[in-house]
Amino acid sequence: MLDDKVVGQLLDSAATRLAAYGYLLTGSLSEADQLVQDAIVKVAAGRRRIADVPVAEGRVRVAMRTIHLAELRRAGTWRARYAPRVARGGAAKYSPDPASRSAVGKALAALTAEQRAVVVLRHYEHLQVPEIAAAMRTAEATVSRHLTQAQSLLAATLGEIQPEPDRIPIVDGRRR
Amino acid sequence: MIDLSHELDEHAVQGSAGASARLADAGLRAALRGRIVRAKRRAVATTAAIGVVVFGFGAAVWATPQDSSTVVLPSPSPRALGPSPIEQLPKLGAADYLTQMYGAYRTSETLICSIIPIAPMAKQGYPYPGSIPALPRWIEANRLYGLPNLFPPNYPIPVYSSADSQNYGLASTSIPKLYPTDAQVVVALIADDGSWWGFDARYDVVDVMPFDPPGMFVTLTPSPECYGGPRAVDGSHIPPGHYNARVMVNRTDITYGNVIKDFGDVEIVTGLPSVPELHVTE
Repeated sequence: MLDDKVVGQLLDSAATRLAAYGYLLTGSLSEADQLVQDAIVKVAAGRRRIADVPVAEGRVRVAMRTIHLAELRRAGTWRARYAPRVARGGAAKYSPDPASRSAVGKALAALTAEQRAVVVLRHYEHLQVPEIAAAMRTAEATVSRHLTQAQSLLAATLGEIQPEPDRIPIVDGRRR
Repeated sequence: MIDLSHELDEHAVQGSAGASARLADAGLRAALRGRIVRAKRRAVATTAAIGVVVFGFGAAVWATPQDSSTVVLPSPSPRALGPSPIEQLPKLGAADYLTQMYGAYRTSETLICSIIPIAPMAKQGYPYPGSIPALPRWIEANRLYGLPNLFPPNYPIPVYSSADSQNYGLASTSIPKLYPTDAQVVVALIADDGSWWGFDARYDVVDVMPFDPPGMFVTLTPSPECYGGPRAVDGSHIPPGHYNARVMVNRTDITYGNVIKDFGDVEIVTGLPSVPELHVTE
């Protein structure tokens, strides 16, 4: 739960960072703004009271990721069920923002929504493949496939991509 | 060789230019405040409704369209008090008391949680004639609450593997009919001392799970509005042990009606024994 003051401080201090993250996830200014607002409402209406703005920002970021990935899953289900029944093609997405015309913007625009999400979670959030698979509720192999395809598409436009360094999990795990 | 992290960072900053101004807009902030207030009100209304239900209904009868068995509810101890938002409540002791009461409170989305712990069943059984158990006999706590950096919360729990052809065949045809995606399904795990934890349940057939073979899965999401009793407090995790699993299915298709039934014993175990590479016990 967030009170008005914390929401105000959050928007004052973190709006740009949250919108940037939303923009990377969605590729759209309006969808990014909407995602930020949806996530703030979700966290603000939660039962846990949060008085610390940085903590609130972290919770909102996690909520943004959760909401976006849930939306992708719903869209995936829709495509699997109904896409064969509808005509392919359609109007190109209108992007009024200048960033979409940069090299990175154009390269990202060539990716599918799933590929884009995987790239952002891997190279911006620095999550490991198993973490991404768990967050997306899909197989690691699927994530790896999306990542490989996305990286080769990006590399074709941007040049060779520096590998993301691996992290060592901090949670102790043991085999039985 | 490019540093994609750096490029994405720059692209994000460039793309979000003006976000501060947009999100600082007074009209947008007012609308956002309104959404937050409405969301908080929904939560408060639910809590008040729970108080009304638990305090006010000492005895009642529950009946479902398909199940003619009726049960008398015990007198629960009050957990919270609050004025009734409903002017015309059904008469105590009426044959369809809970059905009417539930209908009266229908606007409260999660109210059905409060009915579950105070409606003991006349007999054990499964919600529909011929249906099969839709919960596993044991549930790993980390599938419910996650494991930091390794495993997300609300992770699907295998119910029937597709390798178990006989049961899976029955489950894959009956469960989607009995627990359709448009129904609200709440599972409460009730301890001997009356503490209970409520979970929203959703059933899916999945074949892309990284740790589990293909099959029928149930996703149990701890409901923030749905708990009670001496040991269940705000945000508390359900401790390991044996529980009576009680399910309520609130279907939009009135032909089937709403159903509440006991599944029987379910054990909560710590860690993730089914995923040895991630299994840890606290």
